[in-house]
Amino acid sequence: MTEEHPATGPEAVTGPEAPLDQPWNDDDGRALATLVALEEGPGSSNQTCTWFLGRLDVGQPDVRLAAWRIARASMRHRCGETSAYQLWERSITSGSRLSDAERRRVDPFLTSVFGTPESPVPVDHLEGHVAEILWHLLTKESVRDGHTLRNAEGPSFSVTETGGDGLAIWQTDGGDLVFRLWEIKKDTGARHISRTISRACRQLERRSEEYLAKYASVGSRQHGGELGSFYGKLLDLWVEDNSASGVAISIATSRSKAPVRRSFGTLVSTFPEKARDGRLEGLVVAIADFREFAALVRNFVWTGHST
Amino acid sequence: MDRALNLGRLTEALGEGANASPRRLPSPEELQDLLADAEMRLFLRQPEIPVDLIRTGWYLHGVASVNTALELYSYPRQRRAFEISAHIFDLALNDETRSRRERLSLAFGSQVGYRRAELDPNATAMFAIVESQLIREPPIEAHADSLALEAGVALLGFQTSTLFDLYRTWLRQLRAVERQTRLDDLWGTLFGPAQRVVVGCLALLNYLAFGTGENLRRARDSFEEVVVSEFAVGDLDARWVAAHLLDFTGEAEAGSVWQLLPPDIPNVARQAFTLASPPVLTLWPPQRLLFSPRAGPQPLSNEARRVVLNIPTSSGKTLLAQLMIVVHLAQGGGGVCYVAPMRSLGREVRGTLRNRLRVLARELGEELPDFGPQVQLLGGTDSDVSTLGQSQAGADASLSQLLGGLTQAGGLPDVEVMTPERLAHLLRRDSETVLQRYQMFVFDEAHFLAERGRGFTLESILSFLHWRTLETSHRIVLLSAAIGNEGQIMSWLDPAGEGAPLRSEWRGPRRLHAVFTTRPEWEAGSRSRVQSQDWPVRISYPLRGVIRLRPAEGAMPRTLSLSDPVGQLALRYNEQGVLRRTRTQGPKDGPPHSTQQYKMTARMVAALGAFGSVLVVTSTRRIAQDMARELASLFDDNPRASSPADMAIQRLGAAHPLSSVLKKGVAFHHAALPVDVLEELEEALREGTLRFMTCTSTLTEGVNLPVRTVVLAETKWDEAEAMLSGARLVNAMGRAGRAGKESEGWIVLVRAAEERHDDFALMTPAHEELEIRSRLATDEALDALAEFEEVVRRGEDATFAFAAGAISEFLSFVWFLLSSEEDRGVSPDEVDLTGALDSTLAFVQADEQTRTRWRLVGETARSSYIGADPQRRRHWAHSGTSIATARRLDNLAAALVQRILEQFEAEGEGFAGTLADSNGALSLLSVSGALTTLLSLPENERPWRFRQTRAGQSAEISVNPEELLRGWVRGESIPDLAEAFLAAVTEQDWRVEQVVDAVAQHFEHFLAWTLGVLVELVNGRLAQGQTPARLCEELPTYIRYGVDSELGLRLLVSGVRSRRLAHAIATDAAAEHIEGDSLRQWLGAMEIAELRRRFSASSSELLDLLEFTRTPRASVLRDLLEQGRAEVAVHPVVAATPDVRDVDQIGEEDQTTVRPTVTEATTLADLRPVPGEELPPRLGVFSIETEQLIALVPTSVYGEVQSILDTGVPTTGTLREDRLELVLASETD
Repeated sequence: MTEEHPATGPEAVTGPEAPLDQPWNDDDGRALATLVALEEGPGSSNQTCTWFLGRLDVGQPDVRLAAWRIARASMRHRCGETSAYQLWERSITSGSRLSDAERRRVDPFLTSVFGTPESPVPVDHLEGHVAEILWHLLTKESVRDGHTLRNAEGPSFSVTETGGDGLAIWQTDGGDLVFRLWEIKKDTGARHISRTISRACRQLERRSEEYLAKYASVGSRQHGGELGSFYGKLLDLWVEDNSASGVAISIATSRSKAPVRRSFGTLVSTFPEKARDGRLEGLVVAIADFREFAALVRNFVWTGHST
Repeated sequence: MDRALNLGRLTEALGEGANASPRRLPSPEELQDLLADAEMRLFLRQPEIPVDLIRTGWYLHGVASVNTALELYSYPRQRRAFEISAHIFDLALNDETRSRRERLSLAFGSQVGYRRAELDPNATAMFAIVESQLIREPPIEAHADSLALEAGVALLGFQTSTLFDLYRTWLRQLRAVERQTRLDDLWGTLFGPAQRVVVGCLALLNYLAFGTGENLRRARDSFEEVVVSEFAVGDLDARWVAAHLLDFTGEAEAGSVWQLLPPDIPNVARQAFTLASPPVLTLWPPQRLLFSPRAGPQPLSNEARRVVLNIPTSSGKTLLAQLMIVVHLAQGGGGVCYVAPMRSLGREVRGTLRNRLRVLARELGEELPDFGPQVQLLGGTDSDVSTLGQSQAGADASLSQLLGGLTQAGGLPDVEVMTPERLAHLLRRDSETVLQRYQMFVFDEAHFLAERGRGFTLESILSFLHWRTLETSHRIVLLSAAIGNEGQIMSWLDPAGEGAPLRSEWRGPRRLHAVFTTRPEWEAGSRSRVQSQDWPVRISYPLRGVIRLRPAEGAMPRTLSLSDPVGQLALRYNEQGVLRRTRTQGPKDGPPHSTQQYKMTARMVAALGAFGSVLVVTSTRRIAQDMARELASLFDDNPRASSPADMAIQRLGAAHPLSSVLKKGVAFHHAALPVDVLEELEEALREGTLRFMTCTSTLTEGVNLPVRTVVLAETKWDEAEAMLSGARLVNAMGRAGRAGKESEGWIVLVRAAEERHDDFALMTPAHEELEIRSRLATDEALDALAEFEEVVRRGEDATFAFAAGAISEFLSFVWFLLSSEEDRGVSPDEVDLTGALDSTLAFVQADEQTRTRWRLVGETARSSYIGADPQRRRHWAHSGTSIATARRLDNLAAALVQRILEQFEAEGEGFAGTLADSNGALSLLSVSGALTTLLSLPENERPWRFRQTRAGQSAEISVNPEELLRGWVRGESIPDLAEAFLAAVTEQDWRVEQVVDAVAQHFEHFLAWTLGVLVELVNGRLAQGQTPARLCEELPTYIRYGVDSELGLRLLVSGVRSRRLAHAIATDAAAEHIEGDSLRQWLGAMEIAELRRRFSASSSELLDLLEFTRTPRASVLRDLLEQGRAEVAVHPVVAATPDVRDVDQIGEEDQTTVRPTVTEATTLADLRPVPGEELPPRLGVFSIETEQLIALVPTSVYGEVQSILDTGVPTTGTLREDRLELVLASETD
């Protein structure tokens, strides 16, 4: 999930969206997929690659709402249901500044992906993390015809390591279980999005067995019944190219880089054997200027630090 | 050949095999190729691993990791998949360009694989590779994402000495996060999964170290929580680690000493394994053999009176023996005698046994000479013997007791390690006491039975012990890595068939075999002309070094060439182009002549050093030395090796070749070096300060240390009988791969010949080569038997006609049997000679006709015995020489006694005083010609001869043995002796080598032995008369150790290795009128800095002194482990000023501030070495509150306190005046 950028301070990425309004008051409960107008992408085909595209234009109020949702999900994920989380959320929703003592209670949870205003972490960590949370929220709320989500692995507390980003296991109406191994990337550079997709493909090609091995060792113990057993078979399903196995790539990028035609060709050429029955999937979420969007997420996280 | 890459194993791991999918895995054959290529690239220092290999590794890891309860894969397949994946990850770890997280991940995957595949030492080796990746410094937030991986990697390294502190450090840092966030528990947060993993790891460690079941449950609960909880979903690595450790708790429990050792063994005996270095938390498969169901008594039980263990080197053979010994002692068994035929092995065994026995507050005897002083050796009183196993600290030991191995100031040692020669010597002198003294005899490297020269010594003592203990509870254990006929050996010792031999072929580190040859580049020859009528044309061809590597049995070798030529081949032709049929080799080396083989080998060896220590086995001392010099020429000075280099300069002089090669990190190791120097070299190789060591293949001179790579560079492969064959070859190859340090060892055979397809077969000894055959069954012995029969037929006195060889050894054995029985009151004509001889291996292996012939030899000896003077014949049995020589020595003694009596008559009491002094005794022996007579005995294998140069025909130099002896016992250094006596020798190292040879062969061995016999015979005769005159009875031992005082001797037989230091201390102590065992207290009262300053002691010499000053049978460590608390006396420190000072600033000048002054009433304190000090540092007591140094551990308890620190167990200390109370810290402290 790393893309090399020079580490930049908060000033450089604090976008035009600031000062913040209060999206927690305006949250009408619409699904994130609705906020980003998720729809099947151009050229999507279950005989090559089924992919979805979400777009959210710069300046749309929903940008803030989406950023808030991600900030909240991330902090909930990192703090758990602890008093630290409650302290953080209360300071934001009440508009009160965190005292120094309170900050000390919250700051350890900002480590590695946000940092603090005084000591921010490199933006590519932040952007990668936002991309992962975005994928995870969209996956958890997604509904598919004939498929029920049984489990979605991820997101990681940390984004300093490449790969191992997500695993989604679905159950078909027929009762069969299928999995998609997801590689999640952010795309913020000037180059075409296909470069990022190619990079994700290479990573999957190199390390998919590693991710699956780790998931198998955990899942076969964590879950009972057929789900546990399915986890145990992940590796063989993968190397034998069983129809239950699939691979997918998720890209979080800027609105301006949203693909306008068929994408994920490299995914198809990398895994041609899986290019049927919807076993290759893609997701592109193009939100505003993604770098600024990520900074917006972080500003929400830091609200209590600066109010 | 190693089995790791065998197709059968790869096939089992991969399962059904290849399919048509583009994601398909390699076939077993392809995987074998991939692995072999990767291994090959390692030789070329190209550690990159193909993606397909890594992918396959993770696939196999995934298959292996699936919950076994699901029964998706068979258990054997999962186990094999663990093994192969671990191997692949292990190879990948050589690539240091991988990210830290990935390396940790690969390391953990590899460790889990190795542990689950029962290749435990390799998991420890993986830890060594990534240990530097662990982060101990705060803040923990900075590595929270890798913390679980770090914790898992550390746990599976099993290094208890550092683990407790590591986990407690991390938990302290996590508690700081809890305090900062005001959370009672970090569970549910991003820190939760890793925290639970660390808690689980510490709990599992506590279980493995202390055996508390509650900790095992806590470990399981912690790991399970991480695996099943939704909260942990954001830390996949923590869940992965937890999932594996959850399974591992079950295996660790089943394989731990807490489960496996018999229930009646006290816990502290188990802790002797889990906490002493090297820690053993779970047992390896060969050790588990002791507990596996089998017919007959369990090997650990006292009922198993005969045990034969045949398992490879590096598979924990010695550990297995340690288990038997510790259990034996813990069950109340009597003393243990551990027989190790090689000095190097004896030192290794002693080192590891000492650590374990210390936990038990048991004592290990010191290394004593093969032929002890001719005083009461083991004939202690009943009360002496009854002190075995009891604490009797502070008892003053007489020198004779000390030398006899009877006591170590605190009663009898529980375990003694000795050579077969020493045990034989003790048996000859007093077999009854030996049998009373020891209840268990462990014979390591038992294949020595078949060794030429020493084999029958071992057979005779084994046979005797076996015969005499047929009906007693004594236990005999044979260990070997190379017995081809263990069934026959077992049936020899256990004719009733009560037990079967234990055999295992398990090894931890893999072995990779390679052959090094050179290949001429025929097309690149350069022609020149030389002045020769017959062969005027010389063509020199570059020689390329070629390494062929065979990755697995049956697999085709792979070939790689070294990039630069390693030498040249110069051939001569006549004008017609006809080749002269000899290769121009010899002293004229290098262009325009052919390059000598050892030089070419050195270039290849140099390349291997990048991966770890290399041992090069050569044919002769000369080649070993030349090879070392050549290797050294390829490297710059190595600062790490400066300490051993300084040691060599001090002891051998700067001009000695060892001193110069050591600077480069290269050493040679052979018998022409003093024993203390050899020990230092072994230590340096063990610690990694030396990268290369060359040695000879003679086992007695051999290096017993494991290394990464063994190069078999003998040059006699084409001769009919290679020196390195059979057990010797197995032993040499067994050195490759250090269990726990690396997972792979390389064996490279050097062939000074054309490549041949069967070169690899030279590394596989034939089964019959490994069969142990009695030395009496050899053709040579049977020829001697025929010769004996001929002498008998001629009517001569055959018993005294053989002074060497098999007949002589057999006659001595029979003589000893008769004498030993006579000591028990059995008349010589009633001794059951037939029964005794039937107990020999020779009689088990011989046919009836041959047995009859040997019996006749025995009866001949009996007749001679009966015919000899009853008193004299028993003295002869004590000598250890041939009977013929014993009689000759007795006659010499008679002549000496006559001379003494005459001189005493003439000079009176003054002469008695002169004789009692070592100088006076030496003069008499010299003047009387006795010294010359001794040196001419057939038992002296090396004539007393010194030459101008190494050339065999060079001029001899006359050296007076008496004068050289005097210099030696006066403490003069080897270089000084060399200069004084061999100034005519121009080559400095040849001077030193000849002196070292004389010292090692004549003084330390031959004269110490035969002079000892002579002195005893003389004094025995004198005692029968009225004269008080006696020959100095310590003289032989002074000669053995090169000292001239009792105090010096006391130090040298108690673990101090440096003669120089012993002399320096003895001189100072004598000046202060220190006597006997008070030397220990005198030295123990000095601070380390004083010892260092006063005696100019080096670090290693100080370590020896700290061991010497240790109070025997101190039980601080045992108290701490058994009762949870212990107390030691310390010296409170009052700082020069009351200000808080930086501990680092406290230097030697502060020694003056150490005085027994009362500080605060009680202070919570921490015990640790004073930072920034030279080794060995002082051990300090630091105030927890102020971090100030508040007390110092006195020298007398330094060793005991250090052994507590070595275990790594956490303690909390409280200082009350001059007493430090240590309490075992609980997990929550």
